[in-house]
Amino acid sequence: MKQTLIDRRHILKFLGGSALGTALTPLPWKVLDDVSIWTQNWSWIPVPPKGEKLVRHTTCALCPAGCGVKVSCIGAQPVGLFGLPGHPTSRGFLCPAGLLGHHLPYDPRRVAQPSRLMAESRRALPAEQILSELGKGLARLKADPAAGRVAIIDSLPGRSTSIAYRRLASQFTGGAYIVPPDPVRRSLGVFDGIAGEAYPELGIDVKRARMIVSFGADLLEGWGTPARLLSGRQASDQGPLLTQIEPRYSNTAAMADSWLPVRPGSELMAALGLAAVLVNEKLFPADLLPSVQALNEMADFRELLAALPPSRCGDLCGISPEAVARTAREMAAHFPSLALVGGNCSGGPFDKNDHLAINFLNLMTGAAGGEGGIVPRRSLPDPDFDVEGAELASPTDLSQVPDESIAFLVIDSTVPRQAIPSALIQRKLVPGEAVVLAFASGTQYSDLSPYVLPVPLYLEAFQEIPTPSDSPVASCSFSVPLVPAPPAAVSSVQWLNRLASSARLDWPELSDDSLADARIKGIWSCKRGSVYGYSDGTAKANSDFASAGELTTVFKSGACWLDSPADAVKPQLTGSAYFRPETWGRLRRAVNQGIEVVSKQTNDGVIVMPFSTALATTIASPLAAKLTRESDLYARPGVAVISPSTAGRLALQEGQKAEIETSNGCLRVRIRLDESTAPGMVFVPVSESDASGAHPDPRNVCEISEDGVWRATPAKLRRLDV
Amino acid sequence: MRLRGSLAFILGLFLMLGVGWFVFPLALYEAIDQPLQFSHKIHTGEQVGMSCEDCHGFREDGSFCGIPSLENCVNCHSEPQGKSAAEKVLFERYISTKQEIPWLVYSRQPENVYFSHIQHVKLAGLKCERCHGPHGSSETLPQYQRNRISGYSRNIWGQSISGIRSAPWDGMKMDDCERCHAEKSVGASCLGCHK
Repeated sequence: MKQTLIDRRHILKFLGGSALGTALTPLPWKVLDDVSIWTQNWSWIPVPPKGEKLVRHTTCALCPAGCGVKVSCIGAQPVGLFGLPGHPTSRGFLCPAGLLGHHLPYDPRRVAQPSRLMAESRRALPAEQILSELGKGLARLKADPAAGRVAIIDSLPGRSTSIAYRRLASQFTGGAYIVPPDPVRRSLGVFDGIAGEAYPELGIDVKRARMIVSFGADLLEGWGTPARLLSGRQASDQGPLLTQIEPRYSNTAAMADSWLPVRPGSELMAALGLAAVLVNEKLFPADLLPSVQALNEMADFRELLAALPPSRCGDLCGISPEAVARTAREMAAHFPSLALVGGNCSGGPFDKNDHLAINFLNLMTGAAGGEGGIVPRRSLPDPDFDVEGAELASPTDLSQVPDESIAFLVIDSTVPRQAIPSALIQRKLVPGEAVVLAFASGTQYSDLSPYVLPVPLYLEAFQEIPTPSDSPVASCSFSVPLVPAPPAAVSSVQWLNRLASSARLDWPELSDDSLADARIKGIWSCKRGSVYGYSDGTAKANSDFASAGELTTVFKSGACWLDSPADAVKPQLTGSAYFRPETWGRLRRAVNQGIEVVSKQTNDGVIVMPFSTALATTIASPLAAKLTRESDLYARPGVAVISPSTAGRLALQEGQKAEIETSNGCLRVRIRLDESTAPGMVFVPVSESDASGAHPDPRNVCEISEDGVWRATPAKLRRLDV
Repeated sequence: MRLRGSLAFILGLFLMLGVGWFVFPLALYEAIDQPLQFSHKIHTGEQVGMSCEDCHGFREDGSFCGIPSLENCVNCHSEPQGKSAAEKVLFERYISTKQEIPWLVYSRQPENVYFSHIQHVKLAGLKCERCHGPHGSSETLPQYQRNRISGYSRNIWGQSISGIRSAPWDGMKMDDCERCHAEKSVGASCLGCHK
């Protein structure tokens, strides 16, 4: 048999040698590197313009904190956002979402056209067609209120724009103007009225607190106005001592001075256990002695605190008795010490009993109404606006609206940070007939809203940022437009004008300018406080402005108004709910219920608990979201965090697909193991992308109580491949 | 038979080693002449005595002007300075026609990279040579070698195709920035350079 010179085996060996040779040269790696760089320069990728750099100023409108922003522009194009160091509240701080806010107009999820959900796909339609359909629906409800109510959810109440929403709600019998649950406002609400009519609101003087006991508040992850707390902690090691009390080892817990991992649902008992130590060891300020004596006369108060010594409290909460006693004594040693409740509402708000119990600590440490605690503040001056005799609907909570009663719902989702779970909204809609309209710049509530009308987003319109809930004084600032909005995106006020016209409502034309001017005129007229100008970095007394027009000019080039601090007000604490016997009866019942909840956690199932932070639920550019998730700064949507022991018990492994089953449905997740997680707990993250429909919202499988609270839900967890 | 197989393997191995190390760099880079020859040495030498910042200076707002515009050249070259071929090209092709010189920039970075010269030069006190090497004292401009795939200069990757640096200024990739920051214990976050 004749042997060939080169056969198949020789060729394969030659190719093998070539492959090895290639691998030993830079060729494949260099080509890979160059190709990846080449992909950065595709023609459709926006290229920042070149030219002389200009500096402009604005206020971040991505969340209610209203941080001052310095904007680097090339021509009219913003190319970089930076914190403004001299800003009186943000002090140069800008979160990752704020730093990349100028990317948002290029977000592929950006809604630029009116659209309607048809046969499970969203189709762009002419605005006139959508407004005509919606107008007919509104006209029908106006004529026949029995068909259902009209409701509006305002994502950022307190703006001058909110007047338009309240006005629309007032046009209909039973119309509801709904504000999202604000944990800070809910919490401070237990002290409402203690400072008299001149100071109808309360703020938090977190900067001067010497110790903070946080019950699940995401204090170091975007809570409230982040710079107020962060600047204190960064400035020196003498910043407030922070004790974090929450079931999950959150980033805030990791950075806190101490972490008490209580059982979910036991926060109320932890707070009362701390209060019991303060009262029984007489650790409260001496001037509170008469108040404590008055409280001791109430049988429920005495018996409740007597029933929660550190040993019992620690047992119920899953922490050591020593930790309870030590924390209470630390609070007493660090007056003014402040107790703060709850964090981002997406993670699950606390109920009224929790707020009552936790805020009782503020009463016992002297933080209620005192420096470094909960301080009285005036309201932001109302817009000087003639509403022509029309009544404005009062704000209400979604839980106050009867189930299956809303036939037409308008959702303003321009600030999605406080997104309400779709399941809770769905429960309030008339089944099968309700019309839902969202004013949106992205895809928030896209799973719920057949109709979407596009609105400008941050940096595209003049937007008002009213007083943040935690601010110790009233404040106001405006975000100024720096880039043009898409042609079809107009403000919600303009959409309302057109909608009212289509429905033939008695509706005087409103404009964004007139509403903003009215707010500024209201501020100017009060003559209080000072205006900090971003461009020159100086503050000027409000009373020094010759006209409201002059103040408008300053606001449009970047400025914020801060009210003067409250005068020495002596809050009347005896007017608060704590001095009413029914409060303590209510708390006793809540403690008994809490003991039942805690006992359920020892069964064979698991407890599922959604969690979130303010930063995770702020609308962020795709790059910001990618960076924070890939760095593992925040858990990715779609995961379930459990302890290795729970995983062992349920035969689950890291990365495995699993299903959480509750009485409300099922949720598919991917397992992530974390040794800091308590056995039996399943933590599921909620993020901004959940509200946009990109991932199933884990809150929708949670048990949502009548008062709109969702936290710990009993569930079953199982592998999907068995 | 076995020997022949080994030879085929070795032949393939060495062939691709040769291609990868010697042929590939030649094919990857395209040599392009600068529009004009320029001697940094003459301008920064004793005869003229200019400094880097006389042409590559900072604007009033602190931004770096980069490559000087023709206006800078005209300040001294409103009349031809000598009779060199480069001077002739400068005067006839650019100054007399008021056309900007299309310099090919060795250090050009991707559009999403913002490098602050004022932070590095004024604040950190780095010398120009730290990143640009002895460019400021060169007699002639080196030939611009454009990467046919990425479109950037060879100076970004570094002269050796292996990526091994022959000097601190050899290479201007993100790795080089990170290495220098690490050496000087200066933190670097994504958003510091990428906007």
